[in-house]
Amino acid sequence: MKRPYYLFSSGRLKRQHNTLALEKTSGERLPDDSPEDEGVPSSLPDGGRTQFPIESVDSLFLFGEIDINSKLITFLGQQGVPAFFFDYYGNYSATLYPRENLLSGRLRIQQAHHYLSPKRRLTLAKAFVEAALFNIERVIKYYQPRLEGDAQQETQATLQALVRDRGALPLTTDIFTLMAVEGRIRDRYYKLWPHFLGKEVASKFPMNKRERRPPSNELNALISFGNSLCYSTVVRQIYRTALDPTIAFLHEPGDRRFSLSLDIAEIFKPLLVDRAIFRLLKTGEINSKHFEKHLGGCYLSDAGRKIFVQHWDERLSKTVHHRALDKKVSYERLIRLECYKLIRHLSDPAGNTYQGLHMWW
Amino acid sequence: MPYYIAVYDVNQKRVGRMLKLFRRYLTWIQNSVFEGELTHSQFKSLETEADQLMKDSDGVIFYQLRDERYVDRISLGEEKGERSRFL
Repeated sequence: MKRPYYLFSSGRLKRQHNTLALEKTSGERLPDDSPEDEGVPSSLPDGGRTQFPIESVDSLFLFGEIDINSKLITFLGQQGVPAFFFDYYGNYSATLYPRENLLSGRLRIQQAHHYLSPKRRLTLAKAFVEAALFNIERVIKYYQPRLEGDAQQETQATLQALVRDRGALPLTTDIFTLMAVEGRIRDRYYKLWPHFLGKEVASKFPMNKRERRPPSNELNALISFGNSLCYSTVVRQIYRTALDPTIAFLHEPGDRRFSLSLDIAEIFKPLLVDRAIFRLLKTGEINSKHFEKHLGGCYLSDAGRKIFVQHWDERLSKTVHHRALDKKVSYERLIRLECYKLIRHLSDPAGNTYQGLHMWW
Repeated sequence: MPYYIAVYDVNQKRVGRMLKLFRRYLTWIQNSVFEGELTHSQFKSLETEADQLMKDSDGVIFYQLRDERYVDRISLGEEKGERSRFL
């Protein structure tokens, strides 16, 4: 089976003998937006060469400063291997997306059609928010019985508020209100995080407010990094279907980004990203020394990123029993099944109304 | 997913070509020794390609294990190859 490779080292990635080779460097890396950056490699490859088999590569995640050339791009294109680039601070910055090989004009027209009709678009957008809400509730309900006293009551109150939000969903008539409802849901949910993390962890990692660009504290840094991983994983799954990643329903299909992956990621963030964060912080696998402050923001250090990514990789291959298919399905596979469900809806909305994944375990 | 350990002993004239072929599919461990996961079809194409390269008294052996979980790896001395996906 092909699996993702995660490159944390800096150096040059090249095509060698029809397979991949990474020539590592040992030099210090400059921030990507540093004015001293002249676009040339920070140091020469001197740290040895690692070759790895192209046949085993599903996708590449490049966290280091990696040099590539057009030969490599052609090669990755032929092999259908996408490469996801992350900047110095660990933010998702770009995808090297191989030429589309699974094209379906019919589906693309359906997708655009569903975007252009406000009614149809709203139906899909609501389905995404609804599923995200359901999974958020699921995470809350998982932690609720373990809480005590005030925390227990506060959680109860939030759950009731979320029920009201759920009631507000069918009444929304446009995307803006829907986005507002979604924002409200997340706000309420993030307020509960200190309880989920427990007193000890919460005192070290306060959750004040969700802030991005730059993330203001450790938890925000973790959420941002986790979400970047989630987007790229969804992009990879969309690529394996005929869906057009740029036409989205909940998010505006902007230029220069794969908006559809943002839509689908909404559903998976609570179950993949958030639970990964709780786990890593509660076990102490990630602690204060894994964060760095730069330019008024807080970021995961290289070591911290590596821990997160390793955990992420394991998590994606975890399986649950799928009732309808009656077999075990990995979390990563669930993302693909979500794409297939979307395709069915787009082809025949009356017969196969899309309903986002509801965690059943 | 089947896990393979592959070893070959081929004439020096073809050893380079064999190395390049195997590197595409499996992870290099030591001289003429490779290991890694392959799907059935990947294994078949590796087998075919290796077979086409071979001549005279060349030999290739694949040890197939049902899953990587069944591998107990005991290694002495320096590990020459990099087997991780986290580089």
